[in-house]
Amino acid sequence: MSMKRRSWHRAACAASLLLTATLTASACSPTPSDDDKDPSGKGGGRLTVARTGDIEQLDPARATAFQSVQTLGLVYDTLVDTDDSGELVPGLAEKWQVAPDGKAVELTLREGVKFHDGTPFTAADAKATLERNMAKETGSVVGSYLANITAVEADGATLTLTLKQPDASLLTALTYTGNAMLAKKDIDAGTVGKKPNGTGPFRWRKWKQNQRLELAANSAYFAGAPKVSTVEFRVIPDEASIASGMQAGSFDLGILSDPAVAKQVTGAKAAVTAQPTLAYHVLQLNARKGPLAKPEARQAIACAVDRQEIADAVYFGQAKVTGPITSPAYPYDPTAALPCEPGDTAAAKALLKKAGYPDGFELKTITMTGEYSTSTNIAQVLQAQLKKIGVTLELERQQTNVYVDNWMKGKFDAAVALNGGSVDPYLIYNRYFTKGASLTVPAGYDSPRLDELLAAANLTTDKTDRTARFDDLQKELLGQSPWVWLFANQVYYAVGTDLKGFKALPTESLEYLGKATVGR
Amino acid sequence: MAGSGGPLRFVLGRLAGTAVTLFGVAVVVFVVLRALPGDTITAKLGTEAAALDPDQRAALTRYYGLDKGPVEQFLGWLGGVCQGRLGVSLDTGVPVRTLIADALPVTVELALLAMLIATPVGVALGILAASRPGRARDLTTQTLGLFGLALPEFVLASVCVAVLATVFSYFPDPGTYTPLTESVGGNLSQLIYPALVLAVGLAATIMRTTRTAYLENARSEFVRTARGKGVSPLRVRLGHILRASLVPILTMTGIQFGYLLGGTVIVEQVFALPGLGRLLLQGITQQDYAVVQSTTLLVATAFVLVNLAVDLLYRLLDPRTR
Repeated sequence: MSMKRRSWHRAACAASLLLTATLTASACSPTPSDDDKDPSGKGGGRLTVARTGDIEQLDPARATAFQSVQTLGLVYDTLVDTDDSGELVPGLAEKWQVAPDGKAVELTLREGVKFHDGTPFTAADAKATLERNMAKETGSVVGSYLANITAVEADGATLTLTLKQPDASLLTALTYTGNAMLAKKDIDAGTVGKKPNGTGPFRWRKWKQNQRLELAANSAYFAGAPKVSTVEFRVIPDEASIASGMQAGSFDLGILSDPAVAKQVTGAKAAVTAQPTLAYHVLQLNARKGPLAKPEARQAIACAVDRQEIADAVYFGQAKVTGPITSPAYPYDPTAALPCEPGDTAAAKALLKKAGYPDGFELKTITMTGEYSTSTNIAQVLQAQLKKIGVTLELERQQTNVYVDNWMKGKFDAAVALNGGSVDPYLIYNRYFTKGASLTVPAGYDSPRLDELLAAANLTTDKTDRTARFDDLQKELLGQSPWVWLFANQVYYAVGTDLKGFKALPTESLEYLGKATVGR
Repeated sequence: MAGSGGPLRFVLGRLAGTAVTLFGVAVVVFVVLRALPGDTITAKLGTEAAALDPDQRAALTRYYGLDKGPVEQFLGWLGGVCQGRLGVSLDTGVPVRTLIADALPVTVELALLAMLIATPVGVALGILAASRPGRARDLTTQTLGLFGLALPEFVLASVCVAVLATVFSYFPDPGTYTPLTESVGGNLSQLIYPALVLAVGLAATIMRTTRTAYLENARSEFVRTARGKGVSPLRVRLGHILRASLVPILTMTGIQFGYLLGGTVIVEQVFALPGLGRLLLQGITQQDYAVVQSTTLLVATAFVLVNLAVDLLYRLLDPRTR
C-alpha cells in the first residue's frame, strides 16, 4: 500500500510539474523578434527608445510632460531653434530682424518646406499657429510667453510680429515645442491633437497607447533626412527594467532619471551618459512668513547648505552645482554672491543670531513622492546639514497632486523642488519674480529690485548688456537668498553600443535621433 | 437561497445582488476620485499648472469636461456605461473602451497562465505534504510554501528581470504585448516569466489550502467507510478525499483568480506589460476619471462573476449545496 501510495503521489506531482515545464519550455523557445531589424532590409534601420512614460498629449500647445514635448519636437519644427550651447539658430525661419526700437520682429520663413501630408508650409500657417497659442481659449501652456505680441502679419514668406514693448526673450519662446508650427488647415478643421502633422524630421506612423509609438523618417526633411528609417518609443514604467533591457540589448536608447538605477547599467551592451539639464533642484524658502521673513535667517540657511555634499550623496558626485541661472549661455559662479562661504556653519550661526533666532527654528518642508524620485533624498541631506545650525526641517512627503496643490498656494515654509529651466534666464525667473506674474505665490518672495532687474534685462537685446543685467540678477538672488539653489538636474541616457551619433542636450531634446545611426 | 428553487433562480437572484454591489462600487469610486486633492489639470501639468492664468485654466477645465457638476458627470458617465460607452480618457483622448480592449487580454491571459501553472503545482504539493503530515516532505513543502508566500512579488519580479537580463542577456520584447493569435512563441515568451512570478505565491496558497482540506477529509468517516468497503487506495484518494477537498480548493482558486483580474500591478510594471493594472495605476496618478471609473467597474464585475461561477461549480461538485 505504501508503495502504491507513493507512486501515485509521484505520478500526480510529475504530471503537474511536467505541465508547467512544458509551458515554460514552449515559451522559452527562441523567437527572435524581427521587429528589431530593419524591415526593408535596406540601410537605415529601427531605433528603439525606452522611457518610463508615454506621450500623453498630441497637441504641442498643451503638452507639458517631457515625453510629449520630446516626441512632438521630432514631429514638429519651430521657427527658431537652439544649438547645442543654447544659442538661437534658424529653424523654419531662415533669419529674423528685430526693429531698432525693439517693437517688431520680422522673420523670413524657409521656402519649399512641406508638412507631412504634403501641404506647403507658409507664413499663413505660422500666423494661424501663433494666434491660436495667443488665444486664451486654447489653454496653451506657452501662451503667456507671447503676451507682448499685439499683431501677427503674414506676407509671402515674411512673418511680422508687432510688440507692445521690446521683448528679448520672445525669440527663445519661439524655440519651445509649444510654439511649434501647425498647418492652418489642421487648426481650421480642429484636427490638431488628433494626428500630428508637422514638418519635422519624423512622421507620425503608429501609436498604441501605453505600449509603443512609431515614427517614420521624413525623407523630405529640409535639414536632411534622418539616417534611421524608424524611431520606436517603448513604454517601460519601471526604470530598473529599462536598465535591464539595456543590458539585454533590447533598446538602443534608454532614458533614466534615477541616479541609482543609472548606476546599474553596466556591461558591454550599453554606456550611460549623464547630461545636466536646464532644470534645477532648489530649496525654496517662503520668505513671506515666520523667521524666513528675515533676510539673515535665509542667508544662514544658504550658508549652512553644502551643495556639493548633496550632489555627492544623491547623484553620486555627478550633478553640477548651479546658481539661479542654469543656461550655459550665461555662466556665473554659483556661490560667489552668497553672504558667506557655503558650508560655513559658524558664519551661518552668527547670521541666525543676528536674525534673532540663535537657537534656530523649525520649517515645514514639503517634498514630492513619485516621479521626482530624488526629492526626499535631497531633503534628508539638507535636514542633516541644517541641523548643525539648529534649523529643523520637518519633512512632509507628499504625493504629486498634494504637493502641487500646496506648492501653488504657497502652503509651506520650505519646499524641495525641481523647477524647469530655459536657455533664456528671463523665461526662467520672470514668472516667479516679476510683479503680478503667474508663479509669484509659490516664489514666496518679491522685491522691487528683482522686478526692475528682470524688466530691464528683457528690454535689451544686446548680448553684453543682457549678460551684465542677468549677472546682477544672480547676485541679487544669491545675496537675498529667497531660495537655496542646489544643482542642475541630471538626465541619464543609456546608449546602446549600436547607436552612433546620438548626443544628449541640456534642453532634453532628442533632435540628435534625426542624425543618429544604428548599425547591427 | 440554496435549496430553494433551481439553478436559474439562484443565478437570477445573485445577478440582482450583483447589480446593487456594482452600483455601490461605481458611487464609491466616483466619490473617492473626486475627493483626491488636485484634478486632471494639476495631475497633467504638475507645478506648471500654477502658471496658468484664470482664463487658461477655465479653457482647460472646459476642454477636459470638468466644468460640469459632479452629479451630471456621474450620471453622464453611468448612462454611457449602460449603453456600452465607457467614456473617453482625459489624458489621451482615446475611448476608454479601446484602452480596456487593449489591456484586458494581457491581464486575463496573465491570470489564466498563472493559475494554470499554480493550480496543479499547488494541489500536487499539497497532497504531497498531506500524505505524510509532520514528516520531512511535509515540512519541506510547508517551508517552501511559507517562503513563496513571504517573498514579495516586486522582489521576485525585479530579480527575475535582472537575472534574465544580466545572466542571459534576455528581456523578451518589453513594453508591448503580442497577442496569442499573432505569435504563440512571442506571446508566451513575454508572459511566461511574469506568470511564473505570480504563480509562486498562488501555488503556495493553493498548496496550504489543499493540505488542510486533504488532511481533514482523510480523517472523515466516509473515507474510512470507503476503505472498509475495499475501495482501491487510488480511488479513495482521487474519488473521495480529493473530490471532497475540491470545494475549499476551488474557493481559494476562484478568489485568487478574481484578485489577479483586478490587475497584477507590480508584475505588469516590472515586466512592462500593458495590462489592466497599469492602466488603472496610470489613471489614478493622472486623475483620469473615466479610465479609473470604467476599469474598476469592469474589474468589480469580473470579480463578482468569477465568484458566481465558483458558487455554481460548488453545486456541481457538492450535492449538499444544491
